[in-house]
Amino acid sequence: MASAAAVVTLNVGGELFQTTTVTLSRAGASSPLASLGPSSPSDPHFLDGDPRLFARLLSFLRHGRLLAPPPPSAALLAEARHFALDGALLASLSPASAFSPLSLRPSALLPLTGRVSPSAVAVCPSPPHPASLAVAHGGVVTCFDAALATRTSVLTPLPAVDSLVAVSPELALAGARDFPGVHLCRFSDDAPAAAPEVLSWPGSPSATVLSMAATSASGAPSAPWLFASFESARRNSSAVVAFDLNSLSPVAEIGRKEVFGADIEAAIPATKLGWLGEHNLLLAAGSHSSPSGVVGDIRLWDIRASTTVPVWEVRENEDCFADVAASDTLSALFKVGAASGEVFMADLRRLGNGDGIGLETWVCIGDAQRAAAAVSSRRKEGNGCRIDCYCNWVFVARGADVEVWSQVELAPEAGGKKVMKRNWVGSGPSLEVAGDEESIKEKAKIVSWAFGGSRMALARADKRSVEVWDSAPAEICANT
Amino acid sequence: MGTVGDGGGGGGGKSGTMKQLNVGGKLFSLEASSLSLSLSLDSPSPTPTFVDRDPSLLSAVLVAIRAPSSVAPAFPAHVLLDEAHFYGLHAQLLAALSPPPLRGFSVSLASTLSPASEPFPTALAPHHDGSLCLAHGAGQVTYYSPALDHHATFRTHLHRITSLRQLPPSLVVLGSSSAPGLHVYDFFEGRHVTSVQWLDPTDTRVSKAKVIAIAARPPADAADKNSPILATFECPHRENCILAIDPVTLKPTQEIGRQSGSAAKSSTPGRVVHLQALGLVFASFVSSGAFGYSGYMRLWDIRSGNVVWETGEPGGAGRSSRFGDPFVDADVDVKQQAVYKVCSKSGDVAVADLRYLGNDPWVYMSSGPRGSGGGYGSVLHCHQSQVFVSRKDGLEVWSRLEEQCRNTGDLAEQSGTKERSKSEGIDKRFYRSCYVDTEEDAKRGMIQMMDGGGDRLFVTREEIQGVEVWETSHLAGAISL
Repeated sequence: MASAAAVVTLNVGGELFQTTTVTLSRAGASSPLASLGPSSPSDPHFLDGDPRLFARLLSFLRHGRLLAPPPPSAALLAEARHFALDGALLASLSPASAFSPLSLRPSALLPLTGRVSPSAVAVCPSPPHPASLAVAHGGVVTCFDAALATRTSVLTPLPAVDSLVAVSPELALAGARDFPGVHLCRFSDDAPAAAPEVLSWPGSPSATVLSMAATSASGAPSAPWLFASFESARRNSSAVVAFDLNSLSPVAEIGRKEVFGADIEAAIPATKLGWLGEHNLLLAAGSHSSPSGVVGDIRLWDIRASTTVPVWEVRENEDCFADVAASDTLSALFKVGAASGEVFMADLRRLGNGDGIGLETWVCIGDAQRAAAAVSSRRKEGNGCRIDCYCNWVFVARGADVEVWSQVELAPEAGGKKVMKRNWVGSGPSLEVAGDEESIKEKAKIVSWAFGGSRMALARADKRSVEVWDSAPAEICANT
Repeated sequence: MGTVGDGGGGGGGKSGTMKQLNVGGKLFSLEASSLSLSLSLDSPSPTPTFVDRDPSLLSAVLVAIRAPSSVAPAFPAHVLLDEAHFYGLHAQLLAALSPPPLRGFSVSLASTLSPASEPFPTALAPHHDGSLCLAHGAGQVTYYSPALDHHATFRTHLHRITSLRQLPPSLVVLGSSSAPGLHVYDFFEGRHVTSVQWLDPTDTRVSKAKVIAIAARPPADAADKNSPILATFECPHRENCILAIDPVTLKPTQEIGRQSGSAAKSSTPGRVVHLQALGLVFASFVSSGAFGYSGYMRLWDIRSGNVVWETGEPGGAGRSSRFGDPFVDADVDVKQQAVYKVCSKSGDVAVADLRYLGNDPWVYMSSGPRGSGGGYGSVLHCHQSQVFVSRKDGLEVWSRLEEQCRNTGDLAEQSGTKERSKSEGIDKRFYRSCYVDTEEDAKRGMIQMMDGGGDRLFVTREEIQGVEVWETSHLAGAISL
């Protein structure tokens, strides 16, 4: 229904295609397709390519996604690279808008080389980049592209990687708890040779890395920043250092703490960092386990305001967090209690210092009675639980299973309350009744996990592969 | 129906009815009347109308319309339906993708729908277009479109949904036997729309009533499409009623059959059927215990609110020929105006004509030489003039022999009213039973829920993931050797 003036006729490998300039301009300025002007069927533009593959690329430009079920073949990706379409094609494979935790299904198993099971996984922040996946196994970091079709491995000097951040499909950062420095892993060949390949705490180059977090590119700082929590080799001082990822230079040192004497609990280093882009806040939390119980600190830092005084801090004594995470979209902090294993929520808009009003910081969104009972009987239900936030959902890893908390908003006439409700991702730990051998295979504990695009990546203990769950539209499993 | 002429040619002579389309460089000619408005309104011109879309998709749509269920299409059903929507071929494609009319004696397991997370169904709500709303796990609802592709899953605030009905085009009505209120959600947006509570300003004890059952919506060809939603509510002190709710304003309009709930014969009905043509509501309640089943069936007049007919088992008002064989489940075939029940001890199916109800209106039908091993745990469901009865050893269907019905009916008229009044119009010779499933299917477990929608039968089994979809198929399914 386009006017004839805007119709472009293409001759691709001998076959005629007709489309409009509007469709071709979606390829982006870097693509040779975008510059093609209108042409008549008698005088088509000639492009050298495979007509069958080009038909799929043209379909991708028209619909914004591939219609036939993914993954695309390597031949199609090569053809897309020929027309400078591969970036857009990879980004469309796993859009964050398609993420829906209740329709996550296991979609792929990515085998890893060597004999070491994966210790950390990370997914690229997907809106600016395609959701490629980085996995650390031993001292090797392997990057899988967003189509999960190709992989590139890089060897780091670290014997084992404990924290991993994927910045872009070309760059990942690896750190270890017992070895100094943040190591850069570049997956492309044309990396600048002169750049320092290790980021370390200025003044204490032997400091080890406890945790890392990166700002997303859409955040307030123009260049992406990396926050790394360092602890000195003698374990008597710690700080969070912010690095500018473009110049790879340290920008700020946040919350430096020194331990004098044996009072370790006075300065607990941060073992979990999180970035709240909407609020421009850095979450830094650390806990310390001693015979008398677990104590921890949770701090929120506004770097623009101060690097020595946090915006908010809380000392956790009773039912200290096993893990804590912050959600931008829900404007709340979430924790799993180490003693109770229940999930607690703290609204960012109602954070006080506890004095005066007497409002409890944490609200239990699980079973509050069970939580109280577990705390008083000093249980350790939350041991090894992890919590993470992605989009509108909160995820908790318990052993081998993942649980998801979603927010349900009731209609205004029914009270208009927002409630958090729990579900399992997948069939959960319930007993599989089906008789076939496949389904009874036991699941191993989750060691590390990451969310990005429409995917969830899981690394399980003693498995030499990474599990990828996707929330792409479910196929009907046909009975045969 | 569209015809396709790849690479030009086609209807040169009848250009009035045929429309030439240039889809991405390939020529198609389609009947103008079948195309959507925006395409067919283009002024007729010698050159074909250019459409910037995929030619391969349109030819896949046309192949699917012309040869339904020939081969598995290269594209998922929802992609084809989206494309057909653009050309205005949506209804034709949907009809081609839908199964043929459901015939209980020739259905087979077509697929198993299994939601991704917590796939244990708690309630089913099919619609007459063949779509399905499924409540599963802890308060999740999944919607499958008429082509049975997964559309959306959302979380409700309830912990366990035990009753669910669709309210087209985009609403679901749901309730839980463990939390108060009837709740309305929009399944496209996953949004809570409103809640309906049973409240009585003159009786403050009526509060926090839970929903036990919701009546199925009337079929598409019903006269009054805005018939009320009927749901049974039960208070914590067991007082109960059937509440009629307006489907447009979503406000309660009428209270039918309020009962104290203090005894079994006034307990909350677990099944409600709206008999629209008669202005009646059928309600049945069954409980099972150490001494077997007991329950009642009642017909309420909607306008007067009175009981028109009732029966209770065991015992009952009249002297039943089957004393000690109480029913396990009962359902009404609205079109045939007949009540069906399945007996617990013998496993026999009985039918009563709604037009000739009396003290003992039942006509008992034994399932024949195969036997059935009793009716414990049976589920009975009427769908498209067929009665599906699940038993321990499988799923049975009772079909009516329409031909014979008419013949004997004529005979009865000629020979006067020789037959007893209770069996007038209904004779067990009209019915034939056969097994629907194989022995392997039955081994998967007892059937827990069963509901028909359009030309599909949806079945769930105890402690088994997913929903089985049973359809009639014209494919031979030959196995090549």
